[in-house]
Amino acid sequence: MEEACLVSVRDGNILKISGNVDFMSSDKFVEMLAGMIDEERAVTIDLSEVDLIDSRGLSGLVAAYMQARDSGVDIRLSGASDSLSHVLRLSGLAPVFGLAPAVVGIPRQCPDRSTLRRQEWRMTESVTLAEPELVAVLRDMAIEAARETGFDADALLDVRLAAGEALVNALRHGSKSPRSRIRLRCMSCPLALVIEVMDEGSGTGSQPNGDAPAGSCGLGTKLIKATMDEVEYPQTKSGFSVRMLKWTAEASEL
Amino acid sequence: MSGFIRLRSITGKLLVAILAVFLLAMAYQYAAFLESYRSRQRLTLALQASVTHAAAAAADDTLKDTIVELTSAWASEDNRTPKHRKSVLKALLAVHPDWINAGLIDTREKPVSSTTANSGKPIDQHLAGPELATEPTVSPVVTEGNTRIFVVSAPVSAPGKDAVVAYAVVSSEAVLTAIKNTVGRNSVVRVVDANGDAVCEIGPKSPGRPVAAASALVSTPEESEMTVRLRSADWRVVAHDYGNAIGESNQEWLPRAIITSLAAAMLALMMGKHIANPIRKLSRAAAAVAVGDLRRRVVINTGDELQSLAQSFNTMAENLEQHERDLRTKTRVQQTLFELAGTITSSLDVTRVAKSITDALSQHFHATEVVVFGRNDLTDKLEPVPVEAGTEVHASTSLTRLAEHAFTSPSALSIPSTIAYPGGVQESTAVALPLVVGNARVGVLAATLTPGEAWDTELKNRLELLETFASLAGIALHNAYIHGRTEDFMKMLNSHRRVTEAISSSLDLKQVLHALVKTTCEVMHAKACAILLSDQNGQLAVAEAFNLSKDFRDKLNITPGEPWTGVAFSEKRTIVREDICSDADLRLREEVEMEGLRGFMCSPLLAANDAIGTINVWMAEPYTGRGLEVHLLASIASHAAAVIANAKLFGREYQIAETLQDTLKGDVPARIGRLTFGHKYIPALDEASVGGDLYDVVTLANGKVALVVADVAGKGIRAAVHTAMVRYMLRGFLYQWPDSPASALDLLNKAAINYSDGHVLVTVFCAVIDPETGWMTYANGGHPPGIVIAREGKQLIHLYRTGMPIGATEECCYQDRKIRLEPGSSLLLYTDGVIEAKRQGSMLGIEGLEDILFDNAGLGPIEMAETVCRETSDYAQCDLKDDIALIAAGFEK
Repeated sequence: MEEACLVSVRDGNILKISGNVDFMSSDKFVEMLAGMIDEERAVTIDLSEVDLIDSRGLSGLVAAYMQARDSGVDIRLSGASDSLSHVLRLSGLAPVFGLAPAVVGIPRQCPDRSTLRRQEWRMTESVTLAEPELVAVLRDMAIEAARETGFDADALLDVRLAAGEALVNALRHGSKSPRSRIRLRCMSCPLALVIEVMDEGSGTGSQPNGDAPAGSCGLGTKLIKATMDEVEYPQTKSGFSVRMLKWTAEASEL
Repeated sequence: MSGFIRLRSITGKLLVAILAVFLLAMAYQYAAFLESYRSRQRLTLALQASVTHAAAAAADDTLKDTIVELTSAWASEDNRTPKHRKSVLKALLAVHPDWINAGLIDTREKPVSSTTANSGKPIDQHLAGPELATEPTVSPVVTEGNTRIFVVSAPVSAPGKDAVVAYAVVSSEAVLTAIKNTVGRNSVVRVVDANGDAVCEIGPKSPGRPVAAASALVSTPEESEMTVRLRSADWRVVAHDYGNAIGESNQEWLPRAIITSLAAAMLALMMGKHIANPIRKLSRAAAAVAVGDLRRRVVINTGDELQSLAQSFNTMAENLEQHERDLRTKTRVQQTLFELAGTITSSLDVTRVAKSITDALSQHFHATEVVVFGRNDLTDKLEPVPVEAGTEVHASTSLTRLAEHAFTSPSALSIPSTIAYPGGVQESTAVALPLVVGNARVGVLAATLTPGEAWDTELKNRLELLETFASLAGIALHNAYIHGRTEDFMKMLNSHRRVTEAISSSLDLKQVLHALVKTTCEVMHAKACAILLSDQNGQLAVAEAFNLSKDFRDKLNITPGEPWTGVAFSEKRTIVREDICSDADLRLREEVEMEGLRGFMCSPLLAANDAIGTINVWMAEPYTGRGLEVHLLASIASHAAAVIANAKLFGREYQIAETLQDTLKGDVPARIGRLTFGHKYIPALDEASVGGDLYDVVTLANGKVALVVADVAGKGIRAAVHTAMVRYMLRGFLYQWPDSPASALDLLNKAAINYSDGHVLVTVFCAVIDPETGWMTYANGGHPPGIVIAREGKQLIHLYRTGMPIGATEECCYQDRKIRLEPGSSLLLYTDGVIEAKRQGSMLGIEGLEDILFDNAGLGPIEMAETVCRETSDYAQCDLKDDIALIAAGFEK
């Protein structure tokens, strides 16, 4: 599955972004945006062709937005797709961009976890060196596992967001050396998908990354919690681990 | 009383008694005093009465005498002249010195004439002048200067006729003198006139004033005063005669009572002490005895009950002391016995037990010669037990004979004897005590006992004590014997176990034989050991030897029946020669002597009642053992025969299995399409087992390539057969289902369960790869996960199992899964020998394998297979417990 890379095209005071706005590419567009804010009086960001935006991209966007507003530049978002609006709402940042906040739905009734014991599980596991390109590979594996589980498109988007955030966290906080590894384990059964991301760090809290935009960590965790049904952080002997569970539609019928 | 006074000490009670005595004495004194006082008072009253009357009589007499003198002087001379009258008066004065003056008044003459002896004496003027009384009168007293005077007058003429009155002025001294002569000096007497004025008084300075105490105690003064009226005048005599006598005793009774009471109390105190001291002594002695001082005695010589009590006490203490001494002696004897028992049972070595028995007898029973005889199990005869290892004990003949007697006699024997020697005569007793434990006679304890300085008097002549000791010694000796036997047995068992362990550790004949000769030599402390096996010709030749020169080994070629190895072989019995050098017909004498061989043992190796060879043991010294080693060798031989036979058989089986497996591995092609292959197989170090690992690469009908890695449980021929079965059946099934390895596994599972004896258990990884596209379908039946190495070695993908191991359950349903091998990635399949490689208890594990793969990224399949094998082997420090089989497939770019 090929992902479109981020392409930012400046057309006057309109910045058109297409592809993925994620941890790898957000810096580039934030830079460009900063340049525009210095020069223009009003800036419009066209998001109509944005495929996906992650916490890092979001925080970059927010930072730029704040900066623009502080320097009196009129900044505006346009063409946000449904999924993008969904992410913005999930993150709680929608009001910042003048969008309607998320409708607080009734929490889903989760089935008892003991039902999972009797299930036939399929397991996919991959371990990679902690490199940004490979994170995308692992994320795709997670999405593939979700697809095999039988999630619909919305749910797939959620899984993609959550797995992406977890993997990026593992990359940022769990990689002590170039030889560090990130392990992704997906277990699926007709009722649920469990995604486990393990790294060799000691959790997000104890290893703050200096160049990470403020609030992005919390944002990532928030997004994971918003998109997955259950999140836990089991102790592993060699690193930090996050385990996420998402029930399938079949499970909610139980 | 005791309830009233609870005093803790005799002294206290004594003091109370003394106080009581004191108070009683005081009371008695006072009562006595009262009694004497009353009687004295009565006496005084009587005395007083007599004194008063006497004084009254004397005073009366004086007055009467004065009247008589006056009247008598004038009786015949009525008419005398005044001059005459005067001389008469003067004569009267001269006669009576107490008269101060005398006069005569004559009323017949007119004027009335008055003549006085001492005219002009003023005294007369004081007198009113005697009235012309018809009766003699005495006037009241008048004080004239220092003198008290009174006037006595009497009519001297015939009554009624003339009125002549003679008078005399008399000093009161006259009365005083008269009274003094009649009453005692101590009497208090007063004469008073009608007016109450005192005429005269005698007595102490303050008459009439008795001591206040006495007056209070006795009576009032009025009661004690006695008054007598005079007849011749209106005078009274008052006497107080009790004053001094009673007053004196009044003052002195108290100190006297105190003194006497004190004396009585002192006496009581002394008496009390006299009684209390012995009691206190007794009490102290009893206390001392109570705390254990039994030597304390009491000496009391009072001669009373206390003395007899003290004697009883002393007797009691003596008895106690004697009793305690007896007890102590008994305890000491028992303790000695106890200690001896502890000493002689402290060891389980026969020699040491004998030594401690000997020492104990020498020390405590003063034995000069002690011999412990033990029964020899083999000969059933008495033998002296050595007290030091490796030495012999020489018992005197007499003692030995006595011991032999005692061994069969029911009880101890003792023979007193007297040995005379230049220094004197020594008494000694030869004693022999049978050592009996239960019904078994273990031996005899024989000793010569002599009295001496070290002779323990308490143990002297106590044969029963010796018997007790002997019974203890018997138990100790018996235990030691049993222990010795058990030790021997244990040693033998242990040796046997060592040999068994050594020869069971391998199934390789050569190794078994080598271990056998080496261990046998060690456990039997032999110089050399050899195993001779019969060859096809029936000749016995050395198969393996330990510590024998090659030359000798080669020459040791024996025909059955030839002494002695040949005899042992053909007669199937163990042969022992104490010293082969002493054999006359020794064939290889020169060589034997050169090797330094003396003692010899040979035991046939019997397998299923057939002699397959012999095991020979040579010793550097002539054999002197008790036959234990012979038993050991025989038992080793019987075990060894079985092992050797097994090893021979197994050798054949192993060869079969190996051949079978070699053919099973087959050839793996180096390349099919874009796929290249590398493979590696390392058998475990344990050569005796042929493992059930297999791998296979087959090109299927549709052009796809099937990779199979499987691990069949079990070892040996059976495993090899199962392996063959799995391999060929799977080939067949894959050929039938070229797109679905899961279906092939389903069929294999059913076949394995239904067509084998149910003992097949196989883990298998089966992958079917399109050699052009890299698409791979796989099914994993309980096998360790296959690993896809992607992204230039930076990503590993684990291919976990999609079903149970083959043969586990019929219910199992296998799943196909698909994954695409990116160009440049590879697939590694392996058996559990890799991830279960152990180092110091920890396993390599999948993580360890991951480390190896990450560390060696970018290798081709051949190098990868080599590297993984090498690293795994290194991890396990070249000690792999299980076979390793792995196959790697690379998908070229």
